[in-house]
Amino acid sequence: MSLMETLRERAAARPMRVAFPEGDNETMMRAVAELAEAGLAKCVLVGDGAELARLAEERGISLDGIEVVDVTDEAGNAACAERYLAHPDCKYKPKGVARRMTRPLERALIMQVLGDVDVMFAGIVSATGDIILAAQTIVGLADGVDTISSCGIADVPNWDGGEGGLIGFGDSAVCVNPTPEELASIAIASSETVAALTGWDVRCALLSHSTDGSMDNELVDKVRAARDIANERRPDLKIDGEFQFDAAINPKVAAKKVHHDSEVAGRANLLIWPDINVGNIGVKIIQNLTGADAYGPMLQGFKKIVCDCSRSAPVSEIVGNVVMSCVRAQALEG
Amino acid sequence: MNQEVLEQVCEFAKSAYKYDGEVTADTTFAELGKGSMKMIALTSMIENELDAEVPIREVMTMKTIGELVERVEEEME
Repeated sequence: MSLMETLRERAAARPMRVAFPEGDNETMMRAVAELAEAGLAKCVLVGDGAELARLAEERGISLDGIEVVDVTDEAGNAACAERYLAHPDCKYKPKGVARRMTRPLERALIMQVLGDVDVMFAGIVSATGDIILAAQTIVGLADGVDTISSCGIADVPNWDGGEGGLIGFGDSAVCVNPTPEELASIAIASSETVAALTGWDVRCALLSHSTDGSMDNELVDKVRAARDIANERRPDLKIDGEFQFDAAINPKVAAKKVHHDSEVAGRANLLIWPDINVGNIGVKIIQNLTGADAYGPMLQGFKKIVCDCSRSAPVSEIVGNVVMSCVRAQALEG
Repeated sequence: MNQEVLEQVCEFAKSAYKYDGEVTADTTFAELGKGSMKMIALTSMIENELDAEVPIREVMTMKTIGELVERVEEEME
């Protein structure tokens, strides 16, 4: 069974509540209908209720079993605003809260803060930067996290390393040039994301052009400092480095180059790139030279699961991303 | 530039960025330090206390507190 088939089974076993503030987009609406029909998620469209109903009818899409939160419903907005104002994470005064009740993206994030939904899913219309900023403002960062980042999982054909040919990676998409603290955050958040999705015993390698002190310069110093911060913050996680790519994934190379006891060296199933240059190039090399399928990137580091899809994502990709978000939300809830 | 608004925004910036030095119209965001959460705190204070909503995305393109104050004044008109 493929990773996605397994994830679909897990999502359907305990459907999570997902808010969609871009349901007026046709691709998104079709994906929501498919998710609801397949019982993969409890879907909530957040937007202008009458407009959503009109668009659904015009497109021949059934909204049966899909909840609609109408941001033009003044009584509903007032009730939600009252609850949000009483919430300790609310940053705004009544006027600011009222403004946000009618904006679908922010309303969906507020619903998440209030516990009305487990996941917020957008990105087909909104830019990633806007989603990250809105979610940072309303949902906030998880405890002990310095930055929002992303991670993904590659399914590499004809390779038996990593975890049966699968390998996690972070961050290829969000954090451009992380500080040591931010790099540690990426390693910690990626370890948790990959564990939530796969149930693996995650072995996370911080990558560099140096292995275990073979080079000595400021680029290596950054990775070593990140390792120390990550280990101090989360001694329960298996995070080690600095390793070259081959020393991270190949036991024979690790045996030659790594001179300390390590549960990660040579058997890493999660790779942390030192910056976005390496991350972007690395993922594209893996995909283009091996024909690997990549899942993600998934945003991480928020208090709740906030998901962003590509603006060109087709229905199948959105469905897959929502399924992954729901499985992560299940793990977050415990 | 409205002096009262400037003084208020400078106080908000000192508080949001936990900045010990003096903040003036010429103080740059680079001097105040990195951190989008601090910028979020600053814009939230401005919105709550002055009823002026300036999107964080816009603030990220600004160099100085003075530019922010001018934008806040536009919102207050």
